[in-house]
Amino acid sequence: MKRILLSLSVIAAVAIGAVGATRAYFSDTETSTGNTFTAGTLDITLGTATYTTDVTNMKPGDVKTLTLNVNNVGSLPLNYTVSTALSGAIMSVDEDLATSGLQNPNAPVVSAVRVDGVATTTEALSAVGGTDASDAGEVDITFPAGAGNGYQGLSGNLGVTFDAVQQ
Amino acid sequence: MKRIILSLSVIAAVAIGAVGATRAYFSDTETSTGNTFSAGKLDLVLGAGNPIPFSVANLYPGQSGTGKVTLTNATGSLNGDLDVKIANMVQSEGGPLTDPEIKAGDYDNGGDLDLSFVIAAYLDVNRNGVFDAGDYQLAYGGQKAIYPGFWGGDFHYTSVSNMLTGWNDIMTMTADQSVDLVVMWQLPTAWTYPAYNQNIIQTDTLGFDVLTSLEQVGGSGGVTE
Repeated sequence: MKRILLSLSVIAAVAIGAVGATRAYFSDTETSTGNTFTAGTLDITLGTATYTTDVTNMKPGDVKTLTLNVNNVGSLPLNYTVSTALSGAIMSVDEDLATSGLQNPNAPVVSAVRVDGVATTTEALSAVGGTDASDAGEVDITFPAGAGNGYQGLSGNLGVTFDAVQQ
Repeated sequence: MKRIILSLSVIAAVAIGAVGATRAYFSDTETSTGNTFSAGKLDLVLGAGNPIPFSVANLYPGQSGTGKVTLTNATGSLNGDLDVKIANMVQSEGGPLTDPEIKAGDYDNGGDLDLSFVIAAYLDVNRNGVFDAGDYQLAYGGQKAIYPGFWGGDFHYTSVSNMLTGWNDIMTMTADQSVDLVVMWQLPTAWTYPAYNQNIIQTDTLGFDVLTSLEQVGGSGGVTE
């Protein structure tokens, strides 16, 4: 019994010591505050698309130009690519060729893509407010001279896509 | 009779003692002065960081960086155990959602940068700018290990939210010793959460404090916020 009591008293003493160890030690704390990280923005907008001439009344042999401004409104410089897609009834006049999966040689085609007057499909833009934050894109649509009467009255759609990625 | 004699002798002895107590004996007193006890000093100083505190704007995936701050047991006469803790993490959307964020399905949830932004840290004891012998790796969950650390000298980056536990009693700094706390960060292009478009972090901000504490050796450890 005496030994048990002695053990208990030792445990109690250690416990008190442990409590004491958490108190009244010298210490000094310094803090580095205000460490901030902020992500930038990568965001482009397209201006209103305009055709240089009327496209509602095209005839075989015509070349029409679509002008479209692309603007970097984000805080990061970027690279972009331009891609185009034509669709609509005017693209599948020759049913035999369309069903065979071949391109009708007389359907309208995108004959050129230019950025600021230079033939290219890839270009860079500086961040908003930079010296080159906007480009003027141009897309030529050629209606082949070989197109026959089957195209009359038909219409199509031109899609122009700008894919922007960070540099 | 014998008892009576003994009693008298006791009385006599007491009487003599009483007389002696009242007499003017020579005496002298000397005092040893100047015995002083002074408490030691523990003074932790954060040196000019480079570039801690971080202030990094216009982040984009693929970027990375390193910052360090020098910790000094300054003019201290005592050794101290060093604790480090990253705390007070705050996030925000950094303003109105951008068009790409909205297209990516983001909404105003208080910021998403912690989903992608990752850090790693070590204590550069020999202050040579590289993680090598004698340095301490500070890993997630409050884990710490001397070089080569947990991954053979390499680092596993993790989110700031995984690094908020705090590292206690990393090492004992001797008086006037300096060490560098190095924090490395990355915004990886490999998107950890493929279900989301990484555009959701655009304009988002993430901030944190770095708390450092020097405590007398044998103290309880831990940074007190």
